Amino acid sequence: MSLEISATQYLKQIKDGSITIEEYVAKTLKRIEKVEKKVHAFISVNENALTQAKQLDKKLKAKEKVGSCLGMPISIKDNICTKGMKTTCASKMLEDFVAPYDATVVSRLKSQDSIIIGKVNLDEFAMGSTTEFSYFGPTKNPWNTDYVPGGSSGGSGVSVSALECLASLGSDTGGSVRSPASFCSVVGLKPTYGLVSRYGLVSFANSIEQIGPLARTVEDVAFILNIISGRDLHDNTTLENGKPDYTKDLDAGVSGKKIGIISEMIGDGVDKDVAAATNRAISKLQRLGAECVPVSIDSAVHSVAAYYTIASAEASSNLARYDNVRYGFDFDLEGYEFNAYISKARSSFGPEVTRRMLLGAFVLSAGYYGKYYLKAQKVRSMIKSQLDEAFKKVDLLVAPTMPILPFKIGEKIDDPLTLYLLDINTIIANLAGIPAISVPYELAHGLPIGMQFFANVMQEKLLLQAAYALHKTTNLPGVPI
Amino acid sequence: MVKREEIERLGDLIKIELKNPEKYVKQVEQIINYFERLDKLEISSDKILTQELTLDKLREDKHILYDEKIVGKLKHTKENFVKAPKMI
Amino acid sequence: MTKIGLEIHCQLTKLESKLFCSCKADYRGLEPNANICPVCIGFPGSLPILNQKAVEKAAMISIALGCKVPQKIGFFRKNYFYPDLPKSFQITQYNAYGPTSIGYDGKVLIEDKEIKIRRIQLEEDPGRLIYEGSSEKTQVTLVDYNRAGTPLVEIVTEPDFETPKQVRLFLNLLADLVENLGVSDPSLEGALRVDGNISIDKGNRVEIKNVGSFRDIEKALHFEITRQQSLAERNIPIPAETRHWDEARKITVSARSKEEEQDYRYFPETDIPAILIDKTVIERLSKNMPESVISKKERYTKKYGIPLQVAEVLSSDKFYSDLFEQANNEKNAKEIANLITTDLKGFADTKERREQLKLTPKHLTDLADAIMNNKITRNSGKIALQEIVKTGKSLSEIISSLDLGHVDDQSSLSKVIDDVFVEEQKAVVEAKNDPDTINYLVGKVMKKTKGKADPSLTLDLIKKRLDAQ
Repeated sequence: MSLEISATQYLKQIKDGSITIEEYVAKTLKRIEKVEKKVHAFISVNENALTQAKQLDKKLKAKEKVGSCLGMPISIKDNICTKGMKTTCASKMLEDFVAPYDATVVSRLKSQDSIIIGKVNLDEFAMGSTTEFSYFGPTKNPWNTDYVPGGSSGGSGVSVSALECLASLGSDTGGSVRSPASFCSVVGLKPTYGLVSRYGLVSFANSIEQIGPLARTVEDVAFILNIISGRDLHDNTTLENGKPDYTKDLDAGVSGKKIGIISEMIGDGVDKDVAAATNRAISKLQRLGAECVPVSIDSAVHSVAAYYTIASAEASSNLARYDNVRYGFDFDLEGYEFNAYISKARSSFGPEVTRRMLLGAFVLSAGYYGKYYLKAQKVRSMIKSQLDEAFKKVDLLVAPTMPILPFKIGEKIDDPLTLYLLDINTIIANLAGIPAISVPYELAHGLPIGMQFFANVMQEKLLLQAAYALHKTTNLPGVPI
Repeated sequence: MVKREEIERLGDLIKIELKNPEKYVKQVEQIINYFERLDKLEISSDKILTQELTLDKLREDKHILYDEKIVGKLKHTKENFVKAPKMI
Repeated sequence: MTKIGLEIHCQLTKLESKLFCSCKADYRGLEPNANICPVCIGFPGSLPILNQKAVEKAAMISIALGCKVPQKIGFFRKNYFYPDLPKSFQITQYNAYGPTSIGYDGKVLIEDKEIKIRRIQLEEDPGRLIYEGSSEKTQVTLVDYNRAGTPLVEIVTEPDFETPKQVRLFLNLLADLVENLGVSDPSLEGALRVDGNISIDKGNRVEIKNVGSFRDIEKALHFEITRQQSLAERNIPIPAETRHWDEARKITVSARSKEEEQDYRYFPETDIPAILIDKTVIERLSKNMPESVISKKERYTKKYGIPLQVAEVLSSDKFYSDLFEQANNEKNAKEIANLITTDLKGFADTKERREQLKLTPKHLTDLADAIMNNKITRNSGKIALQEIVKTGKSLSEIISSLDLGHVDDQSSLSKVIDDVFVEEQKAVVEAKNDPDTINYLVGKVMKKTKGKADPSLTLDLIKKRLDAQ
């Protein structure tokens, strides 16, 4: 029995009896034990996983009804609430926090009998692109453990890539699902804003972020999306999606489709290996029958400034509730005056979170609202308009997910603005609320390069079909760890 | 020009005790300068992306008891009250 | 020239649930922190879910106060740190970037003075702080979040009031309004809170906060006007400041100036999309709005010919007007109105007594009919009413069991008159000349018959008897 199978293959093997849930979960837990000292993807592992697996096997044997996930081990980014298990957001401020409820996405997965194998590492409160800003220490890229795995959902990307689980749920605010997907050579989807409930996702930038699935194949990602998507009464920003089957017609291919290559994302500033890989991917798409044309989204150059303005503003407000009074870490409050206590407690935020909150407070300060925040919102609207215009001419857009290859841990950590600029290819999807997906495409010097597709609002089916078609043409080696 | 006083003011606004405000001065200034490019942009449209809902899609006015006793799970409590640092 | 403006917070106590979650809207009488959930206590990952009825009721208040209701309403975050504010921001409404709150640009007439309503907004109440013991000794603040998330409507007027009396009249109108709309019970403690601002002769504006009740607001304003006038007379400039009403000493006291301009960093609450309120919704709400007190009063006086003072009592109390509407059939309207405002009033003066009342509208109808048809006297009616209120038994049952039937046959009445004439011989002599004494004799007959004697027949018979003597 190999751990390297996809989630879809797992389901088949459980159904035809060639493996049991207990076997697979036991092997997974052993794998986690072995690999964790090298990659540090997990913050906490579910001690009841094996028991749950045994119970599900029993039900299967007794021909009782078992949910469609059939005990599939799934990891959950540690900023998504899981009842009874800690949700730390990789921060000292939530070091001891155990949520009394499950996020909607978690309860939907549980109701289909998936097993939450553990909570995985992230940049503190999802603010970062390398998972180096975690209070619990960085996660390492399994393709080369001296290198960053991307972020902020680094633990998600690594746990899937390093065969520690079959799928993961991450969150994507500026590229945080797609960046680790690209750097770790797995598939990662950021859905349309409103397609997946955010109830239970600890808010960072609430008008922008979405929970997204990561897995080793596009089919697996589509399978998870079926379960977690759709309107939720606990989240006023979710949309009706008509509950389609995202796994249906996945192999429709790209023949006859028009795909726009975003010119701003393949020019200067793009690593030559990445540029070359992108060109090869485009040729491949053409050979598959797609018409690829250059498309300009010139407002994209303002996307990083607009994004960080809005995201910081929202972060400074969303994180204001962490004052260590109702939940947090050990710090007795008797005798302290209120403002002094909370200011001291909140000094436990890491430097990146602190930086963003200072920025957020700045741009929302009296007198600055029009200049920064409002302007950024107008830029956001402009980006959406340009994308709408583009989608009148093409069905999909394509670009490399990251402009550069994974880099060494510690290399860029002291240069926040440089790190922000790495989001330049992913951010427009978040600002416009459109779906985007990263698929593994090539390796360069042993380091993964991912290709990214964008589609218009609620066009996940189209997106998944293109991703499936391209991914099928690849023949990448297994993870070296 | 972002000065130390500005960082201290912001720190007080968001209630974070900054041990080394200088550390943030340069970085915040660099990023704010980067944001300035937005100010220089001429945008003709005033449009802003917003989601919309009709009144009938809103939650029904019904009392539903939340059955988990949350107060027991809070960090600092005294006889079912939440303890907070004192107000002067 | 005195200028007074008001900022009123009205809790929508009659709603079933809070503004953004399904916890109870009326938290009174509950154990501390027994009425909370992840949303109203601001747990990580929780999201606000807007209450449809709250929007509708707030829109109705706006319409009733003559306000415009925008086609799209939106919510904003007001960011600040305080122990009673679980998210460290309050979800509220804000019109600085365009009118997006539930009402704006309204007006109301008070004593022929137009009072403009600047805005009406929907927002959530914070929790409550309890201070233990003296401020020197205590080491902590205690917080009860039961109230956090309770729906509030904030009403802000322009400084158009000229006298404290106008303020009182406006507040009475508002209290009647919200009660009549079925959105709030203003008699509940903390349900209607008023802050005021006041300036005289174009001087500085002073804010008055912490006023407990309506009566106190008038007192506070009077005190403040006097205080400002005495300063002005001595040419001392009046500082712009916030003052608190000291309930015990009945004076306003300068509040420690922690009330410096706070930077609330307002920005849109995008977890709540913009809510579309189109013309058809406004029409539906306007149509279904309960009749206003003023309109009721007019209808009672014009249509039923009910005297003005009776109509005022009847229309301004929803309990009474509801009973009236259900019991009356136009013919007996005046009688029912009378019964309610004169006789029933004594038995229905408190909330508890009203809740325990066994009286139904049918009882009133039967009673009115019986009196109008002379089946029982008004006096007997009073007795019957007391029984009805207590037992809820039907009128006919009570009439027979208490023997309240009308005594109007001459022979039995004559017998009673005979007895009275024997007992009151002195009065009989006086009565020949003094009409007052005749009434005295009538009264004696009434007493002997326990009020069942027909008064006019009795008077007739007595007069005849006196003439005959």
